[in-house]
Amino acid sequence: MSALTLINLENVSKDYTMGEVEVNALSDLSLEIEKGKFVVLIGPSGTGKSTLLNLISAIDTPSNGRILIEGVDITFLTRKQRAQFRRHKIGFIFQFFNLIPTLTAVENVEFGLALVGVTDSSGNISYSTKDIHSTAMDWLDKVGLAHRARHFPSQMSGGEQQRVAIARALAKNPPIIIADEPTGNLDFRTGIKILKLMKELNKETQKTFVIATHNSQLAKIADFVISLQMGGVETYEQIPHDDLDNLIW
Amino acid sequence: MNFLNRYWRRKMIGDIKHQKLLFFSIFFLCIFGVGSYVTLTMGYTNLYVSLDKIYEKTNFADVEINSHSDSWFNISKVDLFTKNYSLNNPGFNLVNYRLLTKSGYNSSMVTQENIRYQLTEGRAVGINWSLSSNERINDFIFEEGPSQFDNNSIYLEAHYAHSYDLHVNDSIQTRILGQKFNFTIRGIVYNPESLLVIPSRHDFLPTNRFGIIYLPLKSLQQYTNLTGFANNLIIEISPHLSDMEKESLISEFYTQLNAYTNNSFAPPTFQQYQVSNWAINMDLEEIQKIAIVLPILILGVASIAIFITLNRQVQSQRRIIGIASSLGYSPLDILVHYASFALILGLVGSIVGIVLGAILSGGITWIYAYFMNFPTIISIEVQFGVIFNGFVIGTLITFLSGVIPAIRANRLTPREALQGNIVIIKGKHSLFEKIFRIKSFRIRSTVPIRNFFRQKSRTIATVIAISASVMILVVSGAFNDSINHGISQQFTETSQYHISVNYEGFKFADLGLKDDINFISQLPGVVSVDPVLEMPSVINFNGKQREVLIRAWNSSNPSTHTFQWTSDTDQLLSKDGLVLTTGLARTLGVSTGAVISYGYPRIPYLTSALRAAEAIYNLWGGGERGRNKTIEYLNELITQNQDTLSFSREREEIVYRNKSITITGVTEEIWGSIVYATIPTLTKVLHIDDFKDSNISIDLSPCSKLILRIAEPNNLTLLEEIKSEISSMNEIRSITFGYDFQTSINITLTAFNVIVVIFILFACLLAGASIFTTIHINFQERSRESATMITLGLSDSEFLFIISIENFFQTLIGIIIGILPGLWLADWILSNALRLFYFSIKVSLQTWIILWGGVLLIVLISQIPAIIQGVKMDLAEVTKDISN
Repeated sequence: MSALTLINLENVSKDYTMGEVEVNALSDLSLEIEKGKFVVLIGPSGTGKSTLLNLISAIDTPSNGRILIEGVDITFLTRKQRAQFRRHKIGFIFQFFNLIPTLTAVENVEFGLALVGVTDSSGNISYSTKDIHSTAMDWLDKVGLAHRARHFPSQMSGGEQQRVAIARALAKNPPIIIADEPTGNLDFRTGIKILKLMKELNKETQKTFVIATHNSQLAKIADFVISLQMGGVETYEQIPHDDLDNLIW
Repeated sequence: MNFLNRYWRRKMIGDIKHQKLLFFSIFFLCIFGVGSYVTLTMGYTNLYVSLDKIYEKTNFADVEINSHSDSWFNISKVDLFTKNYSLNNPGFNLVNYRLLTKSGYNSSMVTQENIRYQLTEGRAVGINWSLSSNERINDFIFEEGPSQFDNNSIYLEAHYAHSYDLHVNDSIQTRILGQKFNFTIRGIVYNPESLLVIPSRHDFLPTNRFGIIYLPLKSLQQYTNLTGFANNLIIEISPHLSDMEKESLISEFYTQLNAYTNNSFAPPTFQQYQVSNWAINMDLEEIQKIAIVLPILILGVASIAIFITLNRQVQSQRRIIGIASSLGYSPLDILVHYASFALILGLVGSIVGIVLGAILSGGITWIYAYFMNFPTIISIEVQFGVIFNGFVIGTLITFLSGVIPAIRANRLTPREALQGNIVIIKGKHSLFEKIFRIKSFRIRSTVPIRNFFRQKSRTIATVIAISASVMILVVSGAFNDSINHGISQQFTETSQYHISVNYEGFKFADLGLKDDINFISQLPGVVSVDPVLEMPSVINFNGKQREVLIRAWNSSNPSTHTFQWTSDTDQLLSKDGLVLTTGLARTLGVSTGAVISYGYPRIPYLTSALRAAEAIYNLWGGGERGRNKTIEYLNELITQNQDTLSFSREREEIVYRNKSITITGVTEEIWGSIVYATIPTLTKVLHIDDFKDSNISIDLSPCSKLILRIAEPNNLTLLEEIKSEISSMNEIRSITFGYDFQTSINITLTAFNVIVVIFILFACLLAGASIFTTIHINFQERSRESATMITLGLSDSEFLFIISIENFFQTLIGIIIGILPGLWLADWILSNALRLFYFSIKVSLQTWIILWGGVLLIVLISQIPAIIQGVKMDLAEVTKDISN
């Protein structure tokens, strides 16, 4: 494991029961993901993309093997510790945005920040509502939605909602951003915009993005591709294709 | 129909299994609503049927007519008249003549509750035992003993016998008109006129304080020197006559009888106004009212729960509806499918509710009959009318509440349904935040506040459910506290007497009363003796009329009674005014300063006047001179008071018309029909002083009882010694201890405490089921956002806090809204259910703590299943579930 390794999976397997059927979602998977990478996880349905994301984000636990994040083994964390881990280490972007419908755009971002606080100018963690609000507004500005800060999710388009979700994920400054089919519920143009935004933010913040998608075209924009197939796993690094406007899917 | 095919059935079973707790909770509410209706309705109907059976078996009199008090009629003379009358009026079936006298008992027994009663009050009833059972009206139900009398034996009324554990062959010492008789009890009996033992409408006594003995008419006539006389007529009319025909027949009979006997009889009392029957019917009417209010509350909550559950069901199953539509199921099939959830819940809930209700109704009937000590002829029958009503009401209400969500499902087009768009709840800033200008975001406050206001209909439904439960709890608590507080205040702060000595009739100051007071005052331990005069009266205000008992003291500030004045304008007892109790003032709608009119039935006046006249007669040495002097005084009295009196020597009648008097105060007491005055006020009204001759200094102030304060009221030996000394005096009918009376009332009210406990249980179950349902639905509807919050790192405890705070506020508002109607309902029940008493509403701190704490605890407990579900949910799965 190199010094740059952020996520390290060692012989990870995951089995679960679906009704009365035993399903082997992942089998003896080992891989390393370095800090700051834009990782795309591709593969057809049922190959374990979401399972892998769930394991990395401590939503689920592996049946076998172990998972290390920033060198810390998260395999056997308690429920409470896993919640703490997700709070501080993971930013989530969902396919269906999952904004809290009763909160405004800025409040949705503040929701994430209120859990971890913000670092003030003197380097201390602050939980003041003023600081949190200010940081949330900065992030909404970064995703181009400062003018929609007081709007509720029901008043925003899908693309706008997803941008708020991105701001919510990044605002709390986690090392890893997990996105499961982030463009799955968006039209093509909006999807491209969201991907662009994510790429830009990846470059700007040097956060590690792990994006699961069934669309193999999206693999072109990744630094690092994990291809999950029925027969096994293939990983490779590449120079990403930056001209997103010419992507076709 | 398609909805009945096995796939739909399987789906329905699957849906119910999937949300079994939720459906069980709604199912429980349906059972609860229908069950409470059937239980209470069938319970009181059974009691009505039981009463009818008892009345039929005992041949309960249709009408009772009494001669005026302290006057008697010649049986032969009246019998001649009634026989002639019945010949011309075939509907006039039977007449029995009875002699009723006051009596006192010295049982020397200790009650089961460890209370000793000696010289308790009562009534002796002389009946013509030679009549065959077909001829007897108000016949007995025998609990013990043979149905034959001998001259030295009596039948004892069962309630009294039970109180003292008296049985056949026990002896009981009786006082009739001051004479002592020792009787052997030949039988223990129930009588239809004393199923509830109440001496009169204005004189409530617990069953162990008022005994009734039945003995042969001839024996009682002999004991009272009234051979050939009676004072009570009971009549049976043909059951084939309508109520109007009966009334007309009796009205005619009464008019002719009074004409025949020179107005010797008081107006007739029809069966429905007979005091025991009247009181029982009042009780049953109250159960009847509760049998309507309670099921409405419960079924109302059930229908709200069904509505929100099915609404949620339709929303979460949009895709299934879309698929079904695409496959060719018609909108009607879909409508019927979702409506059938409610229909099945209603049908099964109603059937189970009816079965349980029918079983429990037997319990209600039995409990009531047990506490009221009814004879064992209790009818527990299945009433198909009630079952039908319960079934229709239960099914209809639940079905209708499920129809609206079903119609919504029916209106979804396949395209809309299949789109499966995320259901986005419309968010907005709450009114609360706008009012208080809350702008900053805090997870622990902003999220619960927004959730509270997110779906007003849901919040309102939850609040209504909580309010309904709170109402029942407040009613129960206030009922209990008000009665306890009322009794406690009455017997510790207001009535500060320890022994009450009742005379046979009136005792006049200079004709023995002062001697009695002197004698009693010198007894060891006696602190003070207050003479009291009690007499029935009728008061009127603005067309409202109440029969009352006027209680008068010699002093305007009696040492044994502390008035609990209700306003600053209230005064001490004045010589020209009356003091009303709160219940009476409220019933009449009067307050201090109001002028009411009041009149006396002839009873006390005639007694007083004749006794006073007799006293004057004796003072004048009797004989012709004394008689003339007496008549002269009486005539003078008439001349001086022609506007208020009428007098006829022949008819021996003196009647007061209504007079006006001012209310000088209102005192908060538990009695519903007591009025306070001073003896001088009553003496003046009675014109007793007019009997005094200006040449003779004589005080004829009357008194009917003496109230004693004792130095050591808890020293039972001392009390018994005083009682023993007093019981040796003449003209004493009964002696009672203050603490006995309080204990007796507490025992009588035990039945109400049972009702209170049942109500509290009902309320807790209702609150639990309804809150569980709404919280569960709330949670289900927000499972995706809850999962999102937890995924984002919200800890379990923070999640629990957010849910609890929201529920806490709902509960808080529910409690606040439920309190006032609850207090109003409690007040309504207290002022209607216990008409002989009046209890002002009081809720103790303890009850408030239990109420608030209890409801909040129920809410916390009810949210546990939903929270467990939340904590255990598959975050990965639920965050993707777009139906939530």
